[in-house]
Amino acid sequence: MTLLDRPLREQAAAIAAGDADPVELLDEALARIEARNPELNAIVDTFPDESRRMFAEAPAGPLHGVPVAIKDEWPLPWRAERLGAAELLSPTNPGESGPYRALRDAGAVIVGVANMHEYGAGSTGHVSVYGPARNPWDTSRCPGGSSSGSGAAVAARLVGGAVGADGVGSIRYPAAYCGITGLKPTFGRSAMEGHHVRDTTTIVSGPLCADAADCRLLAGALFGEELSRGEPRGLRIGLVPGVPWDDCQPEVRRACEAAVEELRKATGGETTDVEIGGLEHVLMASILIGQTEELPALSPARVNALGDDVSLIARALMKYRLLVPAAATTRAARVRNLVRRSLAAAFERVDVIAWPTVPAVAPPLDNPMVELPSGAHPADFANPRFGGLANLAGVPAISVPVGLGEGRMPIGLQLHAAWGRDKLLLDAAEALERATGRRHVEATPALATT
Amino acid sequence: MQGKDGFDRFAAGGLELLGLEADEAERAVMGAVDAIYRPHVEALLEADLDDIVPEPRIDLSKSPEADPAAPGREAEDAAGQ
Repeated sequence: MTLLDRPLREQAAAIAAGDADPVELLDEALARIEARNPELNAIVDTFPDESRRMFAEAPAGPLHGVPVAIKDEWPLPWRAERLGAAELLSPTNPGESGPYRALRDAGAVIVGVANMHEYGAGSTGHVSVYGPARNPWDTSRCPGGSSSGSGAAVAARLVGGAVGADGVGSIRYPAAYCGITGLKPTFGRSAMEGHHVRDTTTIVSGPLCADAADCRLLAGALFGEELSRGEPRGLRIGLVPGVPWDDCQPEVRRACEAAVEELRKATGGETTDVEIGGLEHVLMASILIGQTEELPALSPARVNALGDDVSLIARALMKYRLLVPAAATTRAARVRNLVRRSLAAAFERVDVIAWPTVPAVAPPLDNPMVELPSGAHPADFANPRFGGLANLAGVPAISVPVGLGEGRMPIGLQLHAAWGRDKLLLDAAEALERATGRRHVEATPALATT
Repeated sequence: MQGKDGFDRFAAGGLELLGLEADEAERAVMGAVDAIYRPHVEALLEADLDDIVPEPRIDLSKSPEADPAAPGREAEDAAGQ
């Protein structure tokens, strides 16, 4: 085990104390990407000269000299984003995006760009112009999406942390599938400048790391503020009866129920049933609102002009989207109002709301379907029912690894909190890690130890 | 609109109206997507949402109950400790 295998915070601390050479750490990260990435396709671009220049100019911030990756969703000064797609709907250029500036100002060194699901339009990561990213726990399975490469890169310990984006669960799904921790911050709290959807009301940047303490460090950089640690005592945990618990693979449900009980005991808290009005419409409302934000770039002429290098599913989905009645999108906005008010009432009674991040473990890349009590579904149908609420409402949510399921694939528990209570989620995640002896966050795939 | 035939007729008309071109493979994918999502779109269209009052100047970073002049997100986190 080397320093690169240690948590992000330990890498930063070793460099700050003069116990580690950041140039050697960067070289090791580049070498590891070269060695392990061919099996994963998690990192789609490296730029050693730019990384070294970034380090040479790095300020003494909380991530000074620490290598990290960033999703192919923001421009860098030396590289325009590609969104995992062969053709973009509107022009992009290299530039200083918000997440780039946040990482630079924290002293971090961007060592690579991470793969993503084409246009960010999928929860699996199995479609990308670069080819699919692969899950380090089983390279025949999906890593989750759309921040597919960010999740796979951290799980395989190519980097200690990566920046992803979350519009309908796109940080939390790969975190769950890859057995790491991913935070979807409160809307508007993390750096977003330079994102191609300029007027988004759903997408946020956020950290994917091995554990909650590392997410706290990387989120602090993206927020531009230090996120202090606290003890969540007497945590009131809300449980929502119905689909979020009933329509899961049995072992996913069992692992998540056990984790909730561990969290309750560890904090001396309690569990309470809560209801969220409109939850049954969250799937469509979150998809419709998220996709509507991309419509300004989606003229019939532009869509017609897309070539065969754009996937068939993406071309068909864009055309289908243009046919959906506007009344449905208007009603989706009403659902948003309903769930926001309902959540506000629920968070008067509970501190967090828990349910599985995704209802099933990572499906195969060549057939991303999941078997649930309600039947066999495409993962892209099953997952937004669990991940869309936080984006629709604007609240923060975190996915925490809580065990292994079918095929020894990771399982994630999702916690939501009220607007602005991102730190509470990190505190709760750390309490859960301690309660479980950190065995889930320290579990790594065999590929990460080669 | 019901079933595959219904979607095929709807898609053909809609695509033509918008000037969208779609080959057979794209239409097949659109039909498969419609089969999955159409019931949920229809449920949304039929849902009783008339009493839901829209939020004026919606701020996704805050609770809908929050006073617009209330302290920001950092205070929320501090209050949560």
